[in-house]
Amino acid sequence: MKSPKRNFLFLEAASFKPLAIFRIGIAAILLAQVQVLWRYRDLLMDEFGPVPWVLSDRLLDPLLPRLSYVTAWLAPYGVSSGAVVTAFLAMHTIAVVLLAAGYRTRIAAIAAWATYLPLRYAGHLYFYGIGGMLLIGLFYCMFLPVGREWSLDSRREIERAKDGNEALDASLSVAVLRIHMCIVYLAAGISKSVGDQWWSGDAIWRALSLPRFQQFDLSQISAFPLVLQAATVGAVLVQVAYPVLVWTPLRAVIVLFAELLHVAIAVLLGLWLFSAVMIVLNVAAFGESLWKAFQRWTHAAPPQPLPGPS
Amino acid sequence: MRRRLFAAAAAIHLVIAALFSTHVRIEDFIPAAIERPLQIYGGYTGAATRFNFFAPAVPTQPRVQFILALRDGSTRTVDLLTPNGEANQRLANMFGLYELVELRPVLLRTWAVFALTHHPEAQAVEVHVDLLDIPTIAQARNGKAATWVEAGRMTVRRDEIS
Repeated sequence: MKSPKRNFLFLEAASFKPLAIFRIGIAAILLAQVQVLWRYRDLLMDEFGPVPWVLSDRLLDPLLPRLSYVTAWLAPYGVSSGAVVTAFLAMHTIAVVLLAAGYRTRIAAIAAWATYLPLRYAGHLYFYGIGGMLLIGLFYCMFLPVGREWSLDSRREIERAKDGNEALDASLSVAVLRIHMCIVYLAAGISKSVGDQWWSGDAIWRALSLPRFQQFDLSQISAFPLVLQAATVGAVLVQVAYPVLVWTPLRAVIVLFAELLHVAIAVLLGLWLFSAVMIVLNVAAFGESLWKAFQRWTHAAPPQPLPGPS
Repeated sequence: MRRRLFAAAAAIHLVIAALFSTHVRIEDFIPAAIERPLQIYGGYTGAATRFNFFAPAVPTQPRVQFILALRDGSTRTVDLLTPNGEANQRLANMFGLYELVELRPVLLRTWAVFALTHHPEAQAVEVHVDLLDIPTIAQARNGKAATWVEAGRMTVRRDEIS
């Protein structure tokens, strides 16, 4: 007999839909990323780009996969590094499309991961935080049952469990995502909390001042230091509180604040793909739970009318 | 049994992810014999990802410009900005490498070679790197504006790279 607390942690997810959202969301963001990498591959992926592979490879462990290895193997056959980049981008695209569709999902996830790794490490200096988050997503797609809902596989029942105890698999898988999200937010919150800029308001002021993030002219916002300070302190508090409050009845509130934080990052700093990854991860981890809470709230029995005068 | 194995593997994976998650360099506190396998494992799985986005401080941003010297004696200034915001984010991330002082001479030359390769009309290029000096909120309220401060320049002639 499992305790209610353990049930709350591991047995709450009732379906594989959160994992389907996870799979489709990660695949959609990977496709958006591939479109950018393909269009600007001369700048972001090329062997002789602004930072050539011969230099960027030195910053990597030799045991990590890289396109320079493949290029070296294929060079005797007259295959150029540009052709290798193009081939890997094409293979990655096909694998991600199959992953999104949920066709032979596990094989597609492995292929997407195997092609993503050398692409990522070929251009590792160009991948900001999104590179690691997408790798985390692809890694989980290989092991979690992400293809059991909203997939071509589910129609063919290829990956459906035979033992009839699917709820536990879904719950355990979603629990892994939840714990990983707690690690992400706790680390981000702690790392910010040790910096003075995050208590004075200067962190957001500086981010808004950097040309790489400027979406609007917000230079006049320095006239409102309390607003900037509230925003930075609020961001730290949301991230530090997240790993605690998601296990309490305040789950909906803290996840909503976290999602609003990512929407603000997308709109104000232009980090659309990164914000999309974080929103997808939150929806996969806690979306079903929040949806159930919303349904309970909207279907709650209406309050009893007060007795009228007799 | 399968679920127990999955749970145990997931727990180990999450512990590794937690170890590498903050701005603290955990690799400085564990033996190299353990650290390297963990780093490699993290490199394949994402478990060695740090989540110190914008933390503990928001760094400045380098601006890289290329002043091309053309055959007719004129000059033209170009940069690597694209019409795509996501591509520009990634380029800015790469240019951020300039904050590592020991890499600066190599980066200046590498960027110069890239510019000469992509602009065959140029006889020479001067790479010009500035860092944005951002005032604090208090300084900005007193009228101080953000200014670009030169952080390096290098001129490379085409005959030096051929």
